[in-house]
Amino acid sequence: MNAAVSPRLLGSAIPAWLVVMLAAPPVAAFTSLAAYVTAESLGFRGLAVPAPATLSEAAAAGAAARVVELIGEGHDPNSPSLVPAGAVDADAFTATAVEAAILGRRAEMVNLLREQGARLDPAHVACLARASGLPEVMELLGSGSAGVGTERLMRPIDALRSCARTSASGQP
Amino acid sequence: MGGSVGDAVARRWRTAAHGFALLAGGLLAVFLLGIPVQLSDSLANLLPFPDASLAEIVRRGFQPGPYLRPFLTGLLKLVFDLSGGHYFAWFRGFQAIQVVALLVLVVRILGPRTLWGASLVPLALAALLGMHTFAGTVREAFPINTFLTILLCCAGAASLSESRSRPVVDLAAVLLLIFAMLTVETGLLVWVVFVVAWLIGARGVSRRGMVALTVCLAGYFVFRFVILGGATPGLSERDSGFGLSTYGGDDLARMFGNNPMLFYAYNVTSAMATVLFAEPRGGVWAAVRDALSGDLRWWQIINVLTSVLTTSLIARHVVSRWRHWRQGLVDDDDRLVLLFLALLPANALFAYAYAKDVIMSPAGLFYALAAYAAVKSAAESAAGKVTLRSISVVVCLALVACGWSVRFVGLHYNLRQRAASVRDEWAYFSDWQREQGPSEMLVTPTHRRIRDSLYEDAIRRTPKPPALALSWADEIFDRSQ
Repeated sequence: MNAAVSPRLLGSAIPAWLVVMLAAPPVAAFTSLAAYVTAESLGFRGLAVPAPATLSEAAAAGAAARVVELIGEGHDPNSPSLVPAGAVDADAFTATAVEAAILGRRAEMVNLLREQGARLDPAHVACLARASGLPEVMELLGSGSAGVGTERLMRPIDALRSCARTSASGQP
Repeated sequence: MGGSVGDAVARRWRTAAHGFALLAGGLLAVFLLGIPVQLSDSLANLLPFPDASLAEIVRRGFQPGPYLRPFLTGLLKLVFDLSGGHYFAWFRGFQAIQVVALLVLVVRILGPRTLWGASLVPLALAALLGMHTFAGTVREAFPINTFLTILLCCAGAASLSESRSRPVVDLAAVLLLIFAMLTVETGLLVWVVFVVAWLIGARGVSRRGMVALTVCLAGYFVFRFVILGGATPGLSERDSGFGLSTYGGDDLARMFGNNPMLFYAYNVTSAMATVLFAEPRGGVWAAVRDALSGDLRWWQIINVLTSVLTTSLIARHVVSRWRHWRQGLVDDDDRLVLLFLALLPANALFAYAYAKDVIMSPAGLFYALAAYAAVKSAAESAAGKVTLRSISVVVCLALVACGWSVRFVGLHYNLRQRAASVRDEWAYFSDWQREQGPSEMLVTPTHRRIRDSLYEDAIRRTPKPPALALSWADEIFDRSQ
């Protein structure tokens, strides 16, 4: 504890441990960041949020820039794609980007997808919005949002199945 | 500073400290270069540039109104023209260079000449970058961050004051002050830095130079308030925090319309407190509010504890040196503390109209310099003693070193998350445009070209560093800044 670095070297009679105690935390913080950035530039992605692989996954996650990027790369906004387990529901499922956005409770994403070429089936979208308790989407469609959000919400995957049946039978 | 050491040794440690500053600045630059040029408060600033010359843009800045900032837009226009359409590279690159230059200037002001002095430079830089007042200078850019420009001017002023007195230093000081004053109002702090530095013995600027600086300052006020007839910002212009909440401009006008001095006094006091104690934030005592509601987070504890302990070390330095100062004995470290003590209230006056943490970034810069001096003297006083007091000082120093290091990493974490949010902001361009209401924005093909270029940069072209998935990080790093 009392070992002191030579005053000639330090310019002051400061114990070496005190120098280390004050310099080590910021130097360690800097070194860790520099090491992480270097590792990342070499491909390390250990601490990173993985970029959504499919358009529907990106829509469900609200990753707007990724949605635009994937559509720009040629992904069809109207084709169903995989939403992995844990993203919206405990189970993986296949849905269109608009369905995934509603089930992921990303109302603002629905408008973005429409601008990017996604088709909206009003009855189906309204059904999903009701099942997800998302009145903003109803307002986007120009329908009233009365009653939306007051009913018991369905599990996302059940809402998708239920609304698919409703749409198939032509019920509103 | 420290003891007497040979020039060669002094040069070696100064070079090492500068080297660290370059690396730390370079690291921050890497994080900055992952963030596209932002959409809000940025695109609209660029649109007038293609249709006007630099002289015309600067001339428009000399119009009567609440603000006199011709060089703010002038600098934007200059970088815009130089960019040749490569907006991201030039604007972000400019910000990265500013950050590196700032850190190098800070080391020049600290002037470490020994291993002991140099070993504290990383802590001083961590305190500077970890301050919540600094975050606003890098987290946003319009697309040049004006506050960062003023930080650089203040650091430049302190550095010039420490130089050998020569006519060229006087000339540089005058030009620096004129540039800073006409960039943004807080640029007037450059004059305060020169005057305080001169009064405490840093005579890089001559007496004649000081007179010239003061004439420039007087000229600014005459020009702004007598010739231009400029007004000051009103109560209802912006949202601002008060007590435990943030209020809209209209609410503030209703609450303080008859007695705005109370609100202004609150803002000035809050601005000083936020530098000293990391609270309030934007005028809101958020940590107090969250503690009362049982929602206090670890990052708030880290912020407040680090700042309170650092402030107590600065206070210890003031108390221990007070007698010497009264006798006119001021050493290099004292100058750093005295500069901060003068800058803090002067800077706070600029926050009278509304509370915004980044306004206090110049005081934050000098707080980090004062912290360097205070930590140094506290460590020297505690070294070699085993008393309750020295042990408590050492524990305090350890907490300060660790706390600022966490806040330093937190800034970088924040910048990484910011990169993703700026990209998403561009993806929602249409929504943003609708929110702006009917305007003449993007009416010409040139405007649309600028927009398209920035949009493509944000969505496709610029590096896309991934956001980080660390649940514990949101608990210990300040995401509110």
